[in-house]
Amino acid sequence: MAHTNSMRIRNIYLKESFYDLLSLWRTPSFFLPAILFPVVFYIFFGVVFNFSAAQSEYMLVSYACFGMMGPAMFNFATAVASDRAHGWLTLKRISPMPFSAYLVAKLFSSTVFAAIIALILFVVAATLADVELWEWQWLSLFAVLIVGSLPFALIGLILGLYLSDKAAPAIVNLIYLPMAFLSGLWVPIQFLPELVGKFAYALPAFHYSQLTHKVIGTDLQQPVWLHLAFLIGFTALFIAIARYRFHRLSK
Amino acid sequence: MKQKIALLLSVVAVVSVFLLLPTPAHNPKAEGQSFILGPVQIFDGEKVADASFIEVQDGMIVALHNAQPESDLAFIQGNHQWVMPGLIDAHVHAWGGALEDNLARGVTTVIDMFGDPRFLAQHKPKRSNREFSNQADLFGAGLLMTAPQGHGTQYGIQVSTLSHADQAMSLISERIHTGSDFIKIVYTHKDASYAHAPSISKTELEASIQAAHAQNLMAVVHISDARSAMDAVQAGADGLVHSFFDEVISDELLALMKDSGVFIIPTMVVYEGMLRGSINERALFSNNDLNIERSARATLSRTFNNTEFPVHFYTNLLETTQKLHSAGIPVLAGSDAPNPNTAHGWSLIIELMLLEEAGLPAHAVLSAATQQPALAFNLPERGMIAPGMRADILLLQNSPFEQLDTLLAPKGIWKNGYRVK
Repeated sequence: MAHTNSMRIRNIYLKESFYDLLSLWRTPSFFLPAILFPVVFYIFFGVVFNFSAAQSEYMLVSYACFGMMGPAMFNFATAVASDRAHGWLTLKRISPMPFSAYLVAKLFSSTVFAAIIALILFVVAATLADVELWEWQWLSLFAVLIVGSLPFALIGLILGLYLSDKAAPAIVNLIYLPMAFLSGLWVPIQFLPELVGKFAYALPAFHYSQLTHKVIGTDLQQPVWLHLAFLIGFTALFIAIARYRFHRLSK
Repeated sequence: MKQKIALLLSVVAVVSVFLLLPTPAHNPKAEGQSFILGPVQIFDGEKVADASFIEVQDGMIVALHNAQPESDLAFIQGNHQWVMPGLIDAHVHAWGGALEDNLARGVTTVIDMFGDPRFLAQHKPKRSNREFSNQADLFGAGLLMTAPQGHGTQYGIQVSTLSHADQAMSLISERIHTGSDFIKIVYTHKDASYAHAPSISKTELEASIQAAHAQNLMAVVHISDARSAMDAVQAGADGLVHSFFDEVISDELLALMKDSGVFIIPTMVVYEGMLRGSINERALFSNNDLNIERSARATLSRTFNNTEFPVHFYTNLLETTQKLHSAGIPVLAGSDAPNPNTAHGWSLIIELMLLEEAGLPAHAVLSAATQQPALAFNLPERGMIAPGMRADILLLQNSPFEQLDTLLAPKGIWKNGYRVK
């Protein structure tokens, strides 16, 4: 009995994830910009205007981080905000489905798109920019990119829980783009003013990109645990905020 | 079922992408930094060595052998190709990816002639260890010595300037404090007729050189005309970091340089850009086998705006270089990259081609980028293929004595005994 029950629950998770992915797939206005943005940026700054032999690798890592953050934040923020506005979130919550299936499904679909973006960037880097990395580097780059996008999904969730469906995309951009810039994802952090370099420690994107840069040895040589601690701290903080807001909304 | 097939297909797609992603041809860390390379023909930095096997242990050359020694070390087949020391560029300005770009072309050590002291400080520790690195080693002048608003102050790096000879001592101390390996001074004779930035006076030049020597540092001087060169040598400079082309070098200056043991880095490739501007097209751009990065192409194609020089200035330059060598003055190869007409790595080889064009014999040309700079700047463990030297090694397909352009596409590059190409 318990066995079939867990099967049923697993099925709910799978179904919800599948349909969430399907709904994203049917929204090219979401996934086309999410894919094209980092790829076009990379082709511009990593391939066409590259200023040094080592730049293509460096830029690959930076724009991959940039590309991961986007769908994670946008998917959560816009979808949650609009589900809330249209009462869909309430419906999901009172349905017998465990509510976590809703979140897991969203996380799943944004992870799939993040993975697609990462793979496209890898292929572009390998074919157009002659980037060569060790097998373990390609794999760990991929793993760090995907796992490290969690805090950004949480930022998206928080924004979705606070903002109206109209405000969400604008506010996401307002956070996404400046955070990317100030964390050194567009211009290497070493070239930004020292003050920006200090401020960057308060940004999850900075720690995320430093961890990924570590894979190819282009980070600022700070210890791994420092960035990990910051990212875990941010994740815990964001989970706390999201829970608090969610319970407020449930009242 | 359909879903399962779709899932399976996407997993297969992802796995095959990862399998197809390119990896470097050599795995330096797995291959290690100990090996025997041979049989090869060896230019040791000075002459052709009477040996054909090189034994490297832990990144150092430990012995040269005439026959393949009994050994447990990994053996690398040399196929009777040529081997020479990793190149040394005696005049660069390094920042950003410059050190990676240089090593990718077989330049294993660079001497920076003015740059951000933080960059120098950041890369200094690496040159005394033998860990794996994808960068050339860096020695450098750090901040230069110049007049207020003088040459060197226009690049956005904060430079403390010299406006009185009394300040020389404290400015040199400041440079030692920020990590300068030697002192570079910018000087132009007060009556120089061409347009130039404000310069320190000859008295200030003398004071700077004396202050550097008093604190046991070498002093090299940036000049670009014959009269300034004469002043610099008279003031006690250890080396000139450019040549000049306004006239052919006088016998008097030649004799003085010879007597005082002054070396020169002619940086002909930069001057070639001003005076002739054809070598890059001939030696680089027209060769479709070379994979020249877009970034390198950009600086190689950049030109100086003031190109109205008399034709004979270029022949002056060639003749001066030839006379310097004939007089026994050490001629060091330096590219001044990434100035217009140059790019890191590539232009050092172009500089060697220009030295050849000036009439230097092949061994002197090759020595200008290996043993000579190592001797002139006291670079430890570099510039030679010999026991006790760092295993910074190039493997070349053809004899560099017959074909300098074989250096444009080295078959193998070792840095600290690790094969990086």
